[in-house]
Amino acid sequence: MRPAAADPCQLSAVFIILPRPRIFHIFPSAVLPGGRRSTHPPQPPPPPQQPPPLLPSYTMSGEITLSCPALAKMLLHAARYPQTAVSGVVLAPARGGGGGGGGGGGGAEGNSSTSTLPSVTLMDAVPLFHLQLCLAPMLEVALTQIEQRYKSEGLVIAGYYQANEHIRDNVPDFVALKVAEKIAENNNDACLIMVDNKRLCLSLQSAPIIVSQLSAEGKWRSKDKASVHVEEGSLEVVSTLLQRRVQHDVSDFDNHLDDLSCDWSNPQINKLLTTLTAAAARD
Amino acid sequence: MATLDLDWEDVREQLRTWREDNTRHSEEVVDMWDYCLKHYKHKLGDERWMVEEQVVVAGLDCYRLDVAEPSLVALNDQFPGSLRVRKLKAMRLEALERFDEAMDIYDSIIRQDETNSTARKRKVSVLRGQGRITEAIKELTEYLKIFMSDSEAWQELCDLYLKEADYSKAAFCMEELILTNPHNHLFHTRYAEIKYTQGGLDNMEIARSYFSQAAKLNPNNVRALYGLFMSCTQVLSSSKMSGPKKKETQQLATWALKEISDRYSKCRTNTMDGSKILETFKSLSIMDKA
Repeated sequence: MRPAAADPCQLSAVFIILPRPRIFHIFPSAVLPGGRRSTHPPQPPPPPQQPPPLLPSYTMSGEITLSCPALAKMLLHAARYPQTAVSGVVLAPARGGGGGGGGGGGGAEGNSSTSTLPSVTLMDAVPLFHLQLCLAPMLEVALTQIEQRYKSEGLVIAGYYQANEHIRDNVPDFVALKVAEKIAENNNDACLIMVDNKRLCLSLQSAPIIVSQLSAEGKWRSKDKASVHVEEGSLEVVSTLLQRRVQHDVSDFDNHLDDLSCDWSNPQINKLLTTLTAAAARD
Repeated sequence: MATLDLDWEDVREQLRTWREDNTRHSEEVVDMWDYCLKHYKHKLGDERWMVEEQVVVAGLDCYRLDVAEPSLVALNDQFPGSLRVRKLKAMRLEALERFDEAMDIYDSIIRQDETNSTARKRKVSVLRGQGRITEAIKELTEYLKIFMSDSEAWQELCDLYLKEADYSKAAFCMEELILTNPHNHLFHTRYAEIKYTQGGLDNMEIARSYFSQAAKLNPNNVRALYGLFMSCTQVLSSSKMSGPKKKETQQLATWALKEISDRYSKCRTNTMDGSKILETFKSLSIMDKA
């Protein structure tokens, strides 16, 4: 049992907010909103409606692929703390020469002159915070450590994900925009991923995320569904993990600060995922 | 979760601890009740009703109305007309997103008992649950005019202001908390973090002093140590500092880094390489000295 979080704002039951975000679909035999009782064990949720895009989709956009570890850690982190907003970063292989990576200056010229963004594969994710997302000092410490740690593996910070507190809220707030902009200064292909709480459930039909990238005008535009892919079989694997309540084994940076022996890179999750995907591939 | 093997008395103890500490373990409470304690509820004696209340709240928290509703019915039968049970009924309506009806019930509780603070606080939660943060702030400030020593409410207000990016007002809330709880290192840390986020040399210096106070109050507070190091480096990077003060700040930064390295080496995990992490931060401070 991990030591209780040193949260100065540990709220008692008096202040809990109802209905609970992100729990509607987490437990089996949950009553669906509106009072319709589902009598069968995890029924697939109704086909996901297209979430309203932030701004008109950027048509000439590159493809974004999420690997299983990236998707899994994001969703497990969100599932572990359903009562609060959570945030984290996603990692991608560093680009060799040209394009992304490197310092800021003259970024627009560095890119090719066409408006097509190169495709991005997000290899892993690091969960950051669940206590207060908008405070700077620990965020800076975390980003520095993550950059340093993954440099040797050739990965750079390629985006930021956030799951909001409210079940119906998937609009990036000022924190998400600020941090994503900061990341985009160092990496032109940076993604801003918002977790769509309503679609997070025990048997995922589609990746419950909305991915945005910076357009040429400097605005975050959500990519249309066709450009966002997940690794083959990852939806089933992540659903299995959620059913088995593996989210309680995920550590984020806040957990690390409370207890230094918690590893925010979550190697045990990576191992588990390798085993599960291998088993799925055999079947 | 091997809840089936747990002794019902152990479960009762655990629930009692959580009740007394006022911590939130809704999933576990629901599981423990469902798989174990509910079959022994007649053995709980007077404690039964407190446990039932805990189960109702936990059940609503996890949207397990199948768990919460029977307990709510039992409580209602045992305590008809109770305001405490009425509050639970309103919470159930909140879970069903019937917010206006829930608000009506809270208003009726307040009309009946002006001193009832929990109903007022639930109103704030209803507003927050609907995403109406500015109204929640207004409601909470009205509440605090009456119940000004409620630490929990000040913490919640700080939280709400941070959601609205109103750092100065959030800092004010933390100041109130520090005044009433001067030995709580967590409040000092949170206040320092807010000041750091606001930025500017003055705020950075305030952040530095509050981080160091937090580190003094609790030497194991890693956030305070990291925060102290970060704020010292930020202060050092500003040009308008006298020689001796600069030296003092540098010494403070070096001390903080050393303390962090000691903590890392104490936990001795092979995955988290403490020395590597310190290299990173040392390089930060070297850059700033230049």
